[in-house]
Amino acid sequence: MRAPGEEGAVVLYRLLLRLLPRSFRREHGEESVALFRRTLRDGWREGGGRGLARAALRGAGEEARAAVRRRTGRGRDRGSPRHGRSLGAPWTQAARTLHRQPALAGAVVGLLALGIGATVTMLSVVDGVLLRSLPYPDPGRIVVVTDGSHSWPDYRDWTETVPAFETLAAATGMTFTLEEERRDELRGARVSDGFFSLFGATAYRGRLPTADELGSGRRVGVVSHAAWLRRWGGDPRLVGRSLRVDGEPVEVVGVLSPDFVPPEAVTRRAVDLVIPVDPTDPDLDRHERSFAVAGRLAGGATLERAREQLRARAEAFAREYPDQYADETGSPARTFEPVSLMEATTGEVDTALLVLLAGASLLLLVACANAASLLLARGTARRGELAVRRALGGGRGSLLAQLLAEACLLGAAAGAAGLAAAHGGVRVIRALEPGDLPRLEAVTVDVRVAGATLLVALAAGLLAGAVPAWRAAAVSPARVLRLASGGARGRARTSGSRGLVAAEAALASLLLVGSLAVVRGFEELVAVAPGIRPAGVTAVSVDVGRDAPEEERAAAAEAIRTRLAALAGVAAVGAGFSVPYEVSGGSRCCWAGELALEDREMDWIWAHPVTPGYFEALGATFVEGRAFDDAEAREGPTPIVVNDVAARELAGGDGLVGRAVRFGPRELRVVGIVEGIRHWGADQPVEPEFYVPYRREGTWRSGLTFAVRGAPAPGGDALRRAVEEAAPRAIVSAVRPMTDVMSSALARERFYTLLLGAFAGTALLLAAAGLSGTLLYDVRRRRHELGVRMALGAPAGRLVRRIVGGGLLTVAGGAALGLLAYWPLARHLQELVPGVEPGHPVALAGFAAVIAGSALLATWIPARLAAGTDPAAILR
Amino acid sequence: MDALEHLPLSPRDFLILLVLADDPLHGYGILKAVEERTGDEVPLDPANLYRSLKRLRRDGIVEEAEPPEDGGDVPLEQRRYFSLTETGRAVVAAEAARLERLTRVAREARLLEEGRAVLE
Repeated sequence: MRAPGEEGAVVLYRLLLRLLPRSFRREHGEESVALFRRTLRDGWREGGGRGLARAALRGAGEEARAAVRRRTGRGRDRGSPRHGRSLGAPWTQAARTLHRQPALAGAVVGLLALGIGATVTMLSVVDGVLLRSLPYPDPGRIVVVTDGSHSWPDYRDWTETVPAFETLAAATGMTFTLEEERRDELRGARVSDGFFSLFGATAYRGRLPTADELGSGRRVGVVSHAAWLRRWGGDPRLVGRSLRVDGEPVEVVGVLSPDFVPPEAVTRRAVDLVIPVDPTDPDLDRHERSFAVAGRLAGGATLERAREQLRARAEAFAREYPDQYADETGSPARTFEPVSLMEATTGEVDTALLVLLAGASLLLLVACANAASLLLARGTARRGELAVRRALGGGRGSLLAQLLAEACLLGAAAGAAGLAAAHGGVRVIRALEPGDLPRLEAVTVDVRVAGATLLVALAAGLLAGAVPAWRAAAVSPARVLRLASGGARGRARTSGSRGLVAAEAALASLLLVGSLAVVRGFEELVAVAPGIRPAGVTAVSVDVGRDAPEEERAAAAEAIRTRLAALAGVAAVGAGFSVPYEVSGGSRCCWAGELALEDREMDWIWAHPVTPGYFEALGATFVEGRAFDDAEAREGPTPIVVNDVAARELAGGDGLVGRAVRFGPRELRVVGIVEGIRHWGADQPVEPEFYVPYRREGTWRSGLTFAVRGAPAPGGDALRRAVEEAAPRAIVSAVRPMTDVMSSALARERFYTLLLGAFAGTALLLAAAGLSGTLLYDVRRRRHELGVRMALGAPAGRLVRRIVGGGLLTVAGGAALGLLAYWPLARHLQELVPGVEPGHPVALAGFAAVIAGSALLATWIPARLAAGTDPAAILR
Repeated sequence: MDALEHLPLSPRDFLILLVLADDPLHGYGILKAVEERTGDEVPLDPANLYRSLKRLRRDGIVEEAEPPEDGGDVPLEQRRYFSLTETGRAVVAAEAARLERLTRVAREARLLEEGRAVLE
């Protein structure tokens, strides 16, 4: 009968045996293993789990001891337990000592675990997002062509003219409308051939679309494993079925493998349905720039080569199609810069994550310093014990060994606790999905991270324990015994603990000042005037009918608007391609064109198609004129509203309302000027923009977001029902309060700010506690001296001032050091929150105030204690 | 060789020699016999046992013995038998006598009563 876990234990046992002399292994190795196996089975049979564990521990433990003994050359094994003890001694002794002082051990473990937990959590994130290679074949050779999106003809051209690429694929993430029993939205992508092989996708069920199915007019698709389970309950009959997608039949030929992770830099994170692009689609011209293009570098080709070849194409395009690919001077307007897939995926967050990892490490260092000062104080208290042991012949080495063993044990315990904390921390971070942090699915606490934790924990334990151990072991027996016997009360050295407090103050200052600068930057982002009044506004995202003719879309949009406006409590309703802050970085809100007023021309202005009611619903502010109404939107000269930025550029901000402007071949009439609305988020500037009626210029697009202003706005269900009643083909994909839309646009920045703030706050607390503890200890140790001084007439006030002054001086020195270290690092904070000013006066003033306040608070308690010393009680 | 040269024996060696005093035993048998006599007092693990046996053999205290009969399909840990040499027998007797003397001293000091330690 085999014992559970037997094989694992035997593997470990064999490993340990390898540390024994070869001659022994040759002669008795296999026999030892067989006997070990036997004892495991006996243990299991006779004592169940406990018996098994005892047998395993006894065998492996004894072997480990023997092996270490041999490796360290400490005494030859003569079968004498006396020799066995000489190695185990520091460990047993250390464990016993710590066991006797559970409060101290608990405090040190807790402190270190806090720092380790934070560090390992960030380490897991950095490992998962930045270090682990992407889950594709030979991911280092996959390259993404950046510089915005590309057209299908661009992609086709590159497949023939850029030999640096071995395979090239184009893909575009999109939302499909799926009609089964009900209409529904499905996230997905359209991809070129080459996509599946480039990213190593395989089919779990059925097969992948083949190259000859592309362009055959037969529409096929594959669904993701997750969608197959979620939406179709893992029904095997899905393969071969025909789905109605965007009004056309699509045959499902397969289910993607569960371990396929969509390349989010190319498609998007969630892809449930993948449909090959139909290359014969006449809409795929050079104007339709919607594809991300990625390729695998050919053998021998470098990124540099790809860059040269793509640049050559950009120049050729600029000559052939100057309208689209050249600027006014005729030089290429596009660069087609190739970057590695990793860079394209994580380039936006890498520095920020490293800054946060550095922040967590600083916190760990503060915790180490704190633990060190606890151990140092304890070491001073233990001088007597250690001196006696030295006097009795205990070597300095053996004392040092024991003290370091204590530090290792503390580190190991803290590592275990920290690992558990990091496990929780990572779960929290994954659940938060902070601002679409890329590759979140790869973030786990795994063996790699656990291994790193072990190193970090031992390093932390030794860091915290080394100085106190050295100090304590260096003690001279004669001196300490004299002190302990109550003879001359010398002034013991406190410079060590003062130094630690200063180091803590420096580290905490570094974190604090950076965090305050980031918080300040974030506050400024939040305080940016959005150009709208978001309170009371609900954003309802609706597809009004993707496969409907354009007139029907216009009618549906109008019907929905009328129906929503009729709901109780609704004050105003309007729609645009998106609401402000909804789209960041993309151009899905609008398109760019040229606007001319007589002879003045603006060659870059954004055109936003919106319905009447849009400005009122969002609460935009008119500088001059008014919004267009329904009648104007329907017929007569096309009315537009321009923003103040455009008005200034076009007419110096004067007398623009009522005048005619040209937009391409069309003539438009300006009816109002509105204050700039920040469509792309708080960190982006307001650009020249104008708004045009949806039914005149926007019905080519079916995705609209309705802004519903109400006091209060109706609930989500009522809004959904109203939309569905008004337009049966419409699909509501999201209903969110406008304030949520705006705050989620800052989710990543908020996450960074909160995390850094948490590290800094904790570090500050630890540093303050460290200062307070050190001073308290100092005061208690010097009670006698203080009592004598007071008895001799020293005023209590002076004592308090001396203690507070000393504490403040230590902190001031540390803070100055922290600031010195801060300056060269500060510029990286820009990566956390755009626009951070590292030396912002408010942040610096706040820093000074917080540091001074914490230091005062931390010194006040010890000072009070000292002032309260009763000389009579002490001298008696 | 003088048996006294090997004294004192470690408790582990002493126990191994004691259980071998009756009959030749294989590794597993030694482990079981030691366990039976001492419970958990002297932990003996496989590699430790074989290391001790190797050393005791080198010192001429223990020797490899013929298995009682060739059982054919015997597990590895029950194939090799060990027994005491003449020296070994003398050594274990000498050690027992030494311990006996020590115990007598302890008893005279009233540390032992009826073979049991006085703990109070």
